[in-house]
Amino acid sequence: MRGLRVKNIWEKIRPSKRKLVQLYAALLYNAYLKGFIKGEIYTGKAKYACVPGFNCYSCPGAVGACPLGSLQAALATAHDRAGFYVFGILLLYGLIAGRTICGWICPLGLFQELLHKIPTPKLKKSKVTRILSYLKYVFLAVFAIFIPLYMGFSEGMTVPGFCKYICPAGTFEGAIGLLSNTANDSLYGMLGVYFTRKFVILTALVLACIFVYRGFCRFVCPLGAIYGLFNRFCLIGVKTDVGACNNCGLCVKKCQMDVLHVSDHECIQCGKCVDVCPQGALSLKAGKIVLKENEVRTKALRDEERTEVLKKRRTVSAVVWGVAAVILVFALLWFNIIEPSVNENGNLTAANVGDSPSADAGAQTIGYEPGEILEDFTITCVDGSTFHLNECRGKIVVINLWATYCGPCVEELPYFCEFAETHADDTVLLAVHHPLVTKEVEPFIAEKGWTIPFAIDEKEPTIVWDKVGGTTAMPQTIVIDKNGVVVENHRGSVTKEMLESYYEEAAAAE
Amino acid sequence: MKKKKVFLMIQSVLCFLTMAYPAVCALVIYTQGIAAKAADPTAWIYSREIVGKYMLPFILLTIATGIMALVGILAGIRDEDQDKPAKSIEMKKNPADDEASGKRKNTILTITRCVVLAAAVALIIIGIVNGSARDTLYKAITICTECVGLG
Repeated sequence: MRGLRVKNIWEKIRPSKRKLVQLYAALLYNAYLKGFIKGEIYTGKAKYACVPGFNCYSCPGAVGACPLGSLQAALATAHDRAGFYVFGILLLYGLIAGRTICGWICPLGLFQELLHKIPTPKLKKSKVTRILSYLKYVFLAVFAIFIPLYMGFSEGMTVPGFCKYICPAGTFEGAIGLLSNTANDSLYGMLGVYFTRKFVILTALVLACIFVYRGFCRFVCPLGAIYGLFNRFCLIGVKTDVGACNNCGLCVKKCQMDVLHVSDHECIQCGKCVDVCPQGALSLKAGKIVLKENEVRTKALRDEERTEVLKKRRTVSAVVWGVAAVILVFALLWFNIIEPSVNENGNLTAANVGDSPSADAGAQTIGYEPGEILEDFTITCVDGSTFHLNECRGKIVVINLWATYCGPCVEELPYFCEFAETHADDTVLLAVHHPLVTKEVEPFIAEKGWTIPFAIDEKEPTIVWDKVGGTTAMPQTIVIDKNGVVVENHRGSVTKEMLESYYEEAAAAE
Repeated sequence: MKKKKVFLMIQSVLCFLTMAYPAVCALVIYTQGIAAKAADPTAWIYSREIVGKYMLPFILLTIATGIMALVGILAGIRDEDQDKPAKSIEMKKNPADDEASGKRKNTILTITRCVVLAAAVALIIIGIVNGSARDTLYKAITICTECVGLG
């Protein structure tokens, strides 16, 4: 009796094969488990590759780039260089799988399906939801394409519109993923209106997905909108044997997506219709290879043939799962233990805000936190002059860490130029570009007409970045008083009022 | 039947509260933070301590929602209407599997796939050569402050 009860419970909660594949993909995309423990993102070369599904590349565990984020970044820099690489990747994924990616290997899809399992009244699809499903093309056109292109061409700024204003994956995986680790407490200082807005959107989407099957996929996801365009000719998908099909329409009626027919642009190729079809006319295929077909087909075979077919399928299934398990284990070992291209010292690679460098005994602590003396450095500016920190004693020093590809950095630098002019008598400014340079910095600065001293930091070892506790989250502003003591080390954007406030604080120090 | 409906309604309310609560808290924290920033421009709007003050009710709500969801799933309580075929929706005939439906369609499909594949490979190669592959890497290995709502 107890055995039967346990069996019944297991039958209710047992994951389907598709669910297992989705879980597998989610784990493979986020194989850098060390990132969750250390509170840092993976910075290895595997991020050249975009994962097929929706997975924020600022998630601590992410080992690949997000295709949608990469597309927006490519469009934002299209005035400088055409993003052929990302276009090619999307074409390739679309050709191979179309929206099979959404149905089988997208972590966000998995998350939505799990939410939908919560027992509540559910909103069924209708003609209205079919119309609403076209909204995702609006999100694609406006947020994922127009905004990055417009801001890139008109302002020279990288603004990934969808990521910045809407994407729940960035808020959930990126923000909450990073902020939940105490190593990233300094990032709280960077939270403001953008985070609040995105967080509210996240909670609204989570709530919607409880009541509406795959609400985000159906009405919002620009990536699904792109992949849907490939459904008609992609290699993997649900195919119809029109000879067996009697057009009863049960496949469409039972489908929870807003499809007009099997494999249209709304179909996520999940294969549920394959089980539903009473004629066995549907099958999930990869080219000519049948991945899943209805039992009706198998039962129609003779006993010996059926046994042979089932045996072959079991063997193939075992081999595929075996290979998949090996790949996953290798990935976990590689990304967490073996990977050579990740810098273990954590200087350029981590959003880590660790302990300050140790102090000389009896002297004031050398470090980059408020109250500590910033370690001396000398760096050559882009105009050929030399900036030597200790020579600036007697003046307030403001150091800004930035990069050409950092939108908020580019937005705030004019404030620093104004600030420098206002306090020219007793203040020295230095803007230091991140060691990773993606475009010519000098022409960029000249084009913007910025007037403060600029320098580009070295790759390894860095001259400035480590000394000021620089991270990969920019911008960052360090204010040092006349005695060389750090007054403020602010991670995130600054306003004019904040700059003035830091100046007053530094000026008041004896 | 009525008990099931009541259960589903209670679960709905719990889900709504579990999601509405953090959203409202975020708005409250932001409003208070902006007021504090008006007095002191260097003040932080969010901090671990401030967020921590509001966490307990959210945790309790989440646990309650989770337990209720588990009970519902194990007891087989669900909206049975979702299993019924949809009515009043537009439908079209399923297209034939081109690979099995004749030489001409199969040829067109094959040519389309080959053209798209060639374009994809060419774009990827050009992208590696012109540096846009490197741009993808650089974007992915720095924290995307816009993506996570920082700034």
